[in-house]
Formats: sequence, structure tokens, C-alpha cells
Amino acid sequence: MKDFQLIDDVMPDAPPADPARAMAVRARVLGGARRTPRWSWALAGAAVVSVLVAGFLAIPRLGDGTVHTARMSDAATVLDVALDRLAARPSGSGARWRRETLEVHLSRPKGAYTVERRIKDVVWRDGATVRTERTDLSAEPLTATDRRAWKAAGSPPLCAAEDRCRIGSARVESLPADSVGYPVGPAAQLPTDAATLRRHLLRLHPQGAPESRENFLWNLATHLLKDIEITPATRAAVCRMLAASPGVTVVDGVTDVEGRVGVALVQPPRENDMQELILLDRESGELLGLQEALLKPNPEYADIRPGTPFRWELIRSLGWTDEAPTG
Amino acid sequence: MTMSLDGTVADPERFATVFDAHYEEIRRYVGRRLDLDIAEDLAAETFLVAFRRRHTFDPARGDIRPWLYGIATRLVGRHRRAEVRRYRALARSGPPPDGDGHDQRVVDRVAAGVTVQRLSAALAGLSRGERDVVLLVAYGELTYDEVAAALGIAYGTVASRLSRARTKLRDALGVEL
Repeated sequence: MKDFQLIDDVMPDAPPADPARAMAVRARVLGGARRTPRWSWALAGAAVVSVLVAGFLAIPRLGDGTVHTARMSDAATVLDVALDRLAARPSGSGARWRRETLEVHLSRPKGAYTVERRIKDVVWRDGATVRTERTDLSAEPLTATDRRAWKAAGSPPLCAAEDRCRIGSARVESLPADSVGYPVGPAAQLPTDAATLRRHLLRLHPQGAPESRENFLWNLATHLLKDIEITPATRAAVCRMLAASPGVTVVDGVTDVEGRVGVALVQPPRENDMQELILLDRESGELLGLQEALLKPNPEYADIRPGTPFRWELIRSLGWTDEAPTG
Repeated sequence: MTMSLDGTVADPERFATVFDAHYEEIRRYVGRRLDLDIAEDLAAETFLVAFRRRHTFDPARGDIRPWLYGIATRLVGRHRRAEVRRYRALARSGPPPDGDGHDQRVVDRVAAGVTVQRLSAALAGLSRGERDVVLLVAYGELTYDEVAAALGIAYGTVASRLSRARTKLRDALGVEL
């Protein structure tokens, strides 16, 4: 008899896979494995205007730089329906609001090898304070080839000198809530209509600020979605506001670094050649994550590979809870 | 099932072979640890992660199965509270009425006093690391070497976790496993 046979015998088995569902999973998984023409993110960005006319947008398949196409005519509908569902959700309840994110960063020191760094980022808000816990989970050469190149370079530290990794050790910081972020007012009372919300938020844009109004609005919107205990109805309004902003495109079928598929709000290229996108669940409209790419080579970002995403923030959980931070 | 997959894992075109050979067993493994709605997603995610990290698979260091089970186990680890909740629910109510596992062997075990309820409660009492090694052996039929490779831990650590788990299970169930 094999080891622990009793457990195998007694514990309930999983029912057989539904063939249709198994086929769908196979298509989803192997969709990422099939080779498609390699278009760079930059090319995709440059091609947006002409491609949109044809009704399709080429986007990078995140993680390996390949692309697939998504029907634009469907994307706006998918977003609209998902945001209707989101807006109808109750706010939830609990003593604290908590958000947990897994950040994945790719860098190429001196262009020689790629390092993947993973960080867990947790935010707690209880009305009075904002507590952040940031924990380095790992920093490793991405592939076996990268590992060989790293060793050939003398195995230098895998984290940048100005941002040393402390693997497994949480950096905890607690600050008064009113000292952190933008002074948007009480989160629960923010507008639930996109146009009203836009007017409200643009009042915070400082006169003469070097940052454009649209860039400011994008950054503030991502902050609200990720870090503030706004209601589901306001979350939906934030997304609708961005979807209606100049240059923002809506793309369905975008896959993140872990293979989750969503509908994305894609920021227009910024002056520094960076571009961010916000990924939402196609069904619930909930935030799946954010990711960023450098669109073309830029000497200021020599350690970032252009044309493919280099940073992901993957939402693990977000909402009200009665849990409390420890330590 | 063991396959010779030299070159297959790293080749995107041939990754379908890996999926077809191992999806069902990985899905079954995860589905015995977590509710099916989560398990289906994690089984798919296992292969998406495997595809993305295919260049890190080194056939010289072992078979593809432990590698896939290792990825799946790490994904299950993100849901450890859900897993323990599931065992506690099973401990209260037993398996679903039409659940599998009612063949003669199970009847014998139940007659010996080892029911799904008691076993679930005992599994809930193991640490995450102990549960991982026990279930990789029980469900995945991995050898201790393969468990070590799957989890990236030393052989001795596997052995000591299994020993501790065996003691806890024996104390809880009153029988040797």
C-alpha cells in the first residue's frame, strides 16, 4: 500500500472536468502559448488610430510580448455592462478597509539580464490612519538564461542600490489618514456620476502645475481605485470618467502576467514614453490590477525593456474587513 | 504518467502536449484541496504560470510532474484559509451525498472508524507545510525526492514534515497511516 493511501481512499474526489469547460481552459492556456506575430507595444500604440478605424486594436499579450486582437466595438459594451454590475453592488462593511497587491517588476540592469522582483503591498485604512506594509517576496533572474548572464556578470546584487531588498521582512508605516494622498474629501460621499466626479476632482489640479490635467486625473483615478475606500458606485464612476477622457482607449481581452483576462482602460502615451493600463474584471468590473510599459527606448530608463510591460500591480483582495493588522 | 519532454516544455508550439498530459491530474489535485470553482481557475493558472516560466524548467533536474505540482501547490497556498475552512466544513457535514469515494475500500475505512469528517478535521490540524507534503504524496503520488523538487525544499525537510504529520494524524485518528 502506498504512503497515505487512506487519505486518497477516503477523502472526496473532484468530479471529472466538464469537457466544454476543459476545452475552454485549454484554449485560454494555449492561446498564450501559440505564437502570434510579434508586434511591440510601441507599434501597437502608434497604430492605435489607424487600427481603431478597422475596428480592432492590436495589444501586447502581457508577459511574452506577443499580441492578439480584440474587437473594439465589443469592448465598450463589455465595460459598460461590467460597470453597471459594479455600481449596483453594496459597499460592504467592516472595521477597516484593506487592499493587498502583488507587485511584479522586471528590470534589465545594464541590459544584460532580466530580474523579476515581487513585492507584497498591503494598505489598511480605519478612518484615522493609513497603515502600509511592504514586503519583498523575491528578486530573481527571470529565466535560466538570465541567471547564467547574471552569474557571468559576477552575481551582483539583484536589487538596485537605492532600493535594497529585505526579503520576507515587512516595512510597516502608519500615518494620519489626512496626511496621505489627495484631499478628495470623504470617500463615501464622492460623486457617483462620471461628469460630476470629473469636475470635482479637477478642482484639485493645482494652477500652473507641470502635470497636465489629464495626466493628473489619471493618476488621481488610479489612486482612488487602488488606495481609497470609495463605494462601488464611485468606483464605476471613476472608470466611466476615464473611459470618456481624451485619448483613453477601452480594450477587451487583455491578459495580465498571471493570465487573467480583463477589459482594460489604456492611458494615452505619456510624455516620458510610459503608458499605464487599468485592468478590470469583465464580469464584475472589479479592479484586477494595473500595469505599465515603456513604449520606446528612452535613455532615462535604460534598465527597462521597451515595448513590453515591465510593472504589474495585481490586486489580491480589496474591501472592508473586520480583520486587523498584526505586528 | 511520465513523459519525456526534453524541449517540449520550452517550445511554445509543443506546450499543448504538456497541457493535455497533465491538466486533468493537476485539476483533480487542486480540486481535492479547494472548492471546485477556485480549483478550476487555479488549475488553469498553473499552466499559464508554467508556460510563462517554461524556460526555467530544467529536465535534467527532474520530471515535469513535480514541477507542475509545485506550481499548483504554491497557488493553493494563497488560499490556505479557504482550504482549512473546507476541511472544517467537511468535518461538520461530511462529503456531498453524491460525492465520489464510496467504493469498498472506503467502506472498509469507515468501518475502521476513519470517516471523511474525522480525516478532514485531522488535515485541518496540520500545518500548511505538513499538509503540502502529505497531499503531494497522497494525491499526486510523488516520491519524497519529487516532493522536495516540487516545493524547492531539502529531502530531509520533506521527511521531517511527513514524520510530524504522520504523528499528528495517528494521534487524531487512532490508526497508522
